[in-house]
Amino acid sequence: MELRGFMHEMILTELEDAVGVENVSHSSDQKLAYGTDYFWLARMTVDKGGNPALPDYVVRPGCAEEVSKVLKIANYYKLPVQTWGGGSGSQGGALPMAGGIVLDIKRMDKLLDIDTKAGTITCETGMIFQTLEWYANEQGFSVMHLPSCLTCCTVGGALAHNGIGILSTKYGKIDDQCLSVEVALPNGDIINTLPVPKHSSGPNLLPLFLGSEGTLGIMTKAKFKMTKLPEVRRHHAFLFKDISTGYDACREIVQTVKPSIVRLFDEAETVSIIKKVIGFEKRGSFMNLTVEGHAKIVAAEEELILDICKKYDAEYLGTEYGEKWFENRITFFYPGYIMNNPQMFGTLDTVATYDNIEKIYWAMKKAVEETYDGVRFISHSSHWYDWGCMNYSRFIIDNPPEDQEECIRLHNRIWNAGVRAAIANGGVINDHHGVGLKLGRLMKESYGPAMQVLQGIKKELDPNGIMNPYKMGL
Amino acid sequence: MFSKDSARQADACRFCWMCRHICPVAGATGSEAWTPRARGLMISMIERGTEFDKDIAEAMYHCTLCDACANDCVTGYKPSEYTREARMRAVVEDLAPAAVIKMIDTISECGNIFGLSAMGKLFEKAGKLPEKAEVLLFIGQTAEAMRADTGVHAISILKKAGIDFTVLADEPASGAYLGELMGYTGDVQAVAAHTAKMIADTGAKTLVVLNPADAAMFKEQYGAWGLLSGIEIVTATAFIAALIADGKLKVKKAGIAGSLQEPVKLTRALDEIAPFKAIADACGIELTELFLNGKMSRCIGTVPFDVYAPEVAAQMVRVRCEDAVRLGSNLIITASPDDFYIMSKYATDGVKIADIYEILDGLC
Repeated sequence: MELRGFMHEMILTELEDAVGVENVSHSSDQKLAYGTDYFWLARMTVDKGGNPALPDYVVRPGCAEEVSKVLKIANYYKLPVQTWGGGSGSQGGALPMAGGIVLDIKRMDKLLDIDTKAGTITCETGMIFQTLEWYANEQGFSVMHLPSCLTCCTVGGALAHNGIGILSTKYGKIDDQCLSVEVALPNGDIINTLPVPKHSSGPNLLPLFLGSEGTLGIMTKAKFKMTKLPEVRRHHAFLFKDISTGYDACREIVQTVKPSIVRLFDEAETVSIIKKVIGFEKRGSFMNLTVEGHAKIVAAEEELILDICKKYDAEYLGTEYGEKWFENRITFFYPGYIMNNPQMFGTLDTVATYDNIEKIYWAMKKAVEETYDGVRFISHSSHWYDWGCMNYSRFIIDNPPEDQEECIRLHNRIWNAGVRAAIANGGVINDHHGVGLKLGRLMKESYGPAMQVLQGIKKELDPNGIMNPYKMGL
Repeated sequence: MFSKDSARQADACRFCWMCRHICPVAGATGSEAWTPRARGLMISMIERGTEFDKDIAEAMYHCTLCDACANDCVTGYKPSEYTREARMRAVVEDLAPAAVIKMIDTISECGNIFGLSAMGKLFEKAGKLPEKAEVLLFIGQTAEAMRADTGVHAISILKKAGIDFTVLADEPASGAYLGELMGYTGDVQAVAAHTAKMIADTGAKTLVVLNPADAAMFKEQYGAWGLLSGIEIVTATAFIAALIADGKLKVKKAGIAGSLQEPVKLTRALDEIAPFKAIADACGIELTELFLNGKMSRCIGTVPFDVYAPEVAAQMVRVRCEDAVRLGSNLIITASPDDFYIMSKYATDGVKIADIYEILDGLC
């Protein structure tokens, strides 16, 4: 829809009336800031001097009621609404590809409640996740959600793509940690999921919104469980002869005890990133592991872990490298350590049962390496469950094509090959980065006829299709 | 064109969000455009053909140059360097915000940021001081113009310690505020050279600097320009903490509790954390430690920033007050005339701002 005459100003003043003049902008600096997130294609576009997709309006509501007002305006004018938290997502989920409104939620950053008796903390979703963690820490607790984007993502962003932190193997993913949310629906109604531990009062609405990436509504408040800070947190490292042996050992470990961190690296990542960041130089499959909680329980867990690793002929590397990894857990993501343009790169994370995860690793590696000469493939598995685990594989091309269009083609071809290899072998599109703009086209392949369930919900809740268009295949 | 180093750093920061949590302006406002990442992105885009316009220039001024981001950066990038260079370009290309241009004009005309025709009131208040002494106390513009009590109490403390010192009758600006507004241009260097000569002419061997912003300017930038060589530069906090440690000041206990507003120019630019805490400890202040302390301490704005972005400075102070209240403290103690001046204007109801120099002077 093209706005003619002074219609742009008419909508602008209506938005200003909803959230305050100072909280609506269409200045060049404000719009440019939202044109690029962490998605490689968006980065490549500006790196090559291209024009990013920009919003028409930047709107910054201060509370759920203001979000509701904006959504009512957007629905009337059928304006796209793209919700922006930290903008640190890698899937292009926040990009304003359809123009319209970018709704930045970071003014909604109030701490609403800390209940140390129940062990819960409640906040608005524009809060930076690190800040939430600091508030919990002040009371001797932790939310135990420590993703690599802890310092830059918002609570809402983590919920919207169903994220995961490094301690997930013991404390769960964000959908295990989030207890309830308040949501502004596309029509402006504000609802709450049921604020109780469990219920048999119909299907649970909470999981519907976690991971919905701003396509079904905007989460405005969230309650999380807190855990007391551990009495001890101890780190260890091991070296397996290959990743296959490592998978078997790690499966047995997580089915026996509850470590908070288990990170198993393939041989290629062991000799590249692990060597660079923590200085470990041997060949093989490196694994670092952390156990934490009550000292007596941790000691018993450590004994069992050492026995299991011995059984699989792992070399015990002591505590030094595990400690170094933990100290540098975010270092990996700073400029100079993480891949950067003009390199082409992507993280093909997926999740599957133990029967399938290693098959996926080899199939994905083969598919990606066959796509382009000069592509490197590295991988690790860092989030483990009783009946399966995830695989965090990356492709890296040091010298991608110069031409922008050719870059987009190659990028999408590699992603198609990698994700299809995962799906064909029992995996899914993604484990914890979300779908976004990047992988929306593959949702129907992954879901099959089940996609109509998501499409039906989308159609009912968002009949005008204003919520984050082109994302998640909806 | 930006300098090679600024362009390199902007290219590194443009896709990195890791310091967002620690940026006081981004945290207080929630504005995406006012993050180190966004400024890096804009500069990198300008280098690739995007027009540098007044809106982008405005974003370059929504930063206090407090270096919380640089302190947090594992790789060692310093966004304040490209931000300061962008300001220089904004001034040269007539893109800087009107309030900034007005301040620069005021400094040019009056020699101070507050537009006052006569400074030196503190010199008069100081009582009889020698014309020349081995120690020169540099008061700074904010204490001279807006927060005289800080200067009065600092002078009183030095007298009580028996220090042979003096102050300049017509103290010039260090150039710190001008450098913040327009980068380290030739104009700023000329101001610095003039000030350095006035200081050197006193024959002082030790320069005790009351305002941490001036101290950072003297120690960092004057050094780079080869000025004030041979003169020891000491912050007033470090100098007074040493007097207490040496037994030259006997301090009674105040029996109060509060949190410290650690000046970011002390903690980050000068790597000085212990002296302010030592003074507070000598005064018997029971400290409420914030999460953001020491090198991570939260900036609440600068004097120039407060002039062109008062609503943001006010919000930053409100956030700082919330930190204190959440931890059960309603007293915030400053060690910088700038911090006292800004915080006193915007402190939330129930929160009291106190000055460590005033507290100490009353106890010794």
